[in-house]
Amino acid sequence: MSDGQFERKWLRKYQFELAGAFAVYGLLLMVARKLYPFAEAFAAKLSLSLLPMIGFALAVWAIGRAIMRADELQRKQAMEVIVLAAAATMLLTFGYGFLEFGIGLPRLSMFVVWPVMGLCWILVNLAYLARGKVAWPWRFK
Amino acid sequence: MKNHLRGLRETKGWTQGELADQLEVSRQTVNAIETEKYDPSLPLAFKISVLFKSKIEDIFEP
Repeated sequence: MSDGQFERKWLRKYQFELAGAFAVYGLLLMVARKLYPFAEAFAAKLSLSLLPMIGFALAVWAIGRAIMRADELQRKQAMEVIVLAAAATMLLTFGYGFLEFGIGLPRLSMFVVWPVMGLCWILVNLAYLARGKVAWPWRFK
Repeated sequence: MKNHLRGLRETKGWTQGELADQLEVSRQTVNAIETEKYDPSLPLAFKISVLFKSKIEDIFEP
């Protein structure tokens, strides 16, 4: 009888699709960086600037597919973690925005938001593990 | 919610992974139900009752 095959298949598919999406992202980023210096028209600059986002869109698609294949508890936990991570990101980025105007902290790029949210997502996951809301994988028998 | 899932699984000699595969859920979900950290949805509770050929109320206690 199979042992944990459902979960392993789910994880393998997700890893494969996500890795593929990031490979596309990396490739398109290199292409865009190589070609950008030669672009003169606004439309060309705009297209090349957004070209790597095709890979990012594929990553969103891979995450969406993984969520659709996940079981009910995985979906519930994914939803809780992302909601808390999004709320923490709002708190941090909005608070920093006020500090930019209030005490003159340096203006940050929009690129900062995603890493902040990623970090919040990791921290919320770790808090869930520490509180025993999610079991460490090696504790299963 | 109290339940007798661990006992039923052990009677069959299955691991959590083996039960999870038959229910098409993760091992974590089986573990969370057994340790009473998560109450399954009605469709999953029905799947469990069909698998063990028991009534839902014999497996889960309110």
